[in-house]
Amino acid sequence: MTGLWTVTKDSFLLMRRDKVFIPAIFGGIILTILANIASDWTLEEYAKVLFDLGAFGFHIIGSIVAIFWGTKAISDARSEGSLEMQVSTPISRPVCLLGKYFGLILNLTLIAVILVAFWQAVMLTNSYLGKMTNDQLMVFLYVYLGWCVTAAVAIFFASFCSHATALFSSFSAWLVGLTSAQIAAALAPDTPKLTRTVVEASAWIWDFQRFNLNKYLVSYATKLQGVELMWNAVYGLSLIALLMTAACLIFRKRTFLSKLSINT
Amino acid sequence: MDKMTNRPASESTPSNNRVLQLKNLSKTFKNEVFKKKRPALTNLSCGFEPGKCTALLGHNGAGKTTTIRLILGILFPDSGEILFEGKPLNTRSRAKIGYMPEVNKQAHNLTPLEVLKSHSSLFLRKQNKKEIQQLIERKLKEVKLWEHRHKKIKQLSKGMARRVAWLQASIHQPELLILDEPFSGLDPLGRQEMQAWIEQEKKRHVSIILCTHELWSVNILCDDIHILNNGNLVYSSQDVEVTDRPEPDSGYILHVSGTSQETLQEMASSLSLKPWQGLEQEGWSSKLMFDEYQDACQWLSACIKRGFLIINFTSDGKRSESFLLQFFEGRTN
Repeated sequence: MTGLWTVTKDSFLLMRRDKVFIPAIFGGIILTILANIASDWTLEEYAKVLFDLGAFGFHIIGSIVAIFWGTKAISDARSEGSLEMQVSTPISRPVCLLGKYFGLILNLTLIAVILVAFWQAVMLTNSYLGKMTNDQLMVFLYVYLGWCVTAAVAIFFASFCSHATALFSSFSAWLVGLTSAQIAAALAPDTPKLTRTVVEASAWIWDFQRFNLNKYLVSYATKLQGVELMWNAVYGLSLIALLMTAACLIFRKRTFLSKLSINT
Repeated sequence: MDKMTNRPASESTPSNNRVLQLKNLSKTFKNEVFKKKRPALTNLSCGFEPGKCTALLGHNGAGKTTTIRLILGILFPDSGEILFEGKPLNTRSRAKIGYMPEVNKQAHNLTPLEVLKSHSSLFLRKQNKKEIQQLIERKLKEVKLWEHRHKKIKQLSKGMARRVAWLQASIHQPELLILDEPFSGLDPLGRQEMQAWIEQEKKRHVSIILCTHELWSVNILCDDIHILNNGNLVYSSQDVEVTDRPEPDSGYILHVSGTSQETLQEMASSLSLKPWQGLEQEGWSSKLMFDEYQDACQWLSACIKRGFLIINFTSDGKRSESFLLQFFEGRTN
């Protein structure tokens, strides 16, 4: 556990000092302000507009940062050689990789807390909205779970790809995850059975819309369903476990040399 | 084939008294584009004895760094075995190994204090936090980095970063110290410091693997020599009789600028310095030659105090180099 905590702490520090940290917070705050202005201009359904736009911004900012840092955490450590130093210490490679993932999660948590606190401040300034409800908080919690899954995707690709490939693959996987459910829902009635089965199965396996709870807030008649929420949480955590296990298995036997190492 | 004993060098004399033993280690790299295989090491067998400093020599691409990376678990061998204290080397036994890479490989955005803290918490798990903190403070003060402890690694000079790398390798008092080109990029004073630190570790009976191209350091520091050529061990001083070993090089050259022969003679008499064995003067540049290392060091120190520009301080490695070159003849890369 000491080894895991040490790598986690180092990764957290490195990402927090990364140039992206402040722009990410700043971007999130700007989007929240813009969402608030947009909701003020509407005649009704202030909360719906605020959450539609704001939660979308929250989701985008966190996911992009998760992909960027997830791929960068490995590639930077590779290029500066600190990964070589880490794997030559008495900790196993999976611990090294998990430490980087948890360091990333700590940073995402910090960003989420700052943005949600700002969001709450914005809502308190609006006389129609006031204090955030539990259901509204749940929206952010699930988007945050989506960030964690996206981070696992990025770490998974970074464990065996170059930075550019991992970045591109992670973005593609994330976009497929966001659109798969809509594609399955949009299938024409006369779609061949086999095609339908494949598309629906893919959407069931890889569906990031499960972390989007805005649909409950859009329609006031619909209430958050406990069982569905629980299954979505289990789905997210299972994806993380699966991706990180695969990443650790690949990383255990991976050969990586620093760009600084040119001698044999 | 060992040129001195007429037997294959890879068949080293087996010995149980070895801190690290490499047995038939082979490693092949694949070219990513054409998938062409390139052997980096072929059936490498050699040992490193406790308390001794062993030089691992060879031309660029001979397999020195690959050997080190295999020992450290950065690479995996295709075949062969690495034994540490008689047992297969594993993650845990790496706690007894210290490694100083050729170039600085610390995370650039961490400070020396953070690097050493996390390194110590990985290597010194049984010690409490207060002890570790005191140890780090003492070590940073020893290498004159205490005032720079909160600067990021990327803000440090190369010499300072090398000192952090040295502390990273040695702070946990390893039983085996692997030094990959420890003198690279250091100025004469830095080299002297590094040499003193290595000698200090030798006194502590630490086994040292010194991977270097600086033959003067081999002459001064090393007890044993392994020479690699194209991934094969072509010479091991452990395999040959003591009388067959190359004699240590005895010449040292101090190259200074900004002084004349008269000034140097005046310095010699006023500071009671031993006279040089040879002098080559060209304008304001002087090459002083010495037989004894101590005499050369005294001159180096005097020249630094007088503010002369030190261009170079090396051993007269011609004999060592010609000895080494005979093993590299016919290399193919």
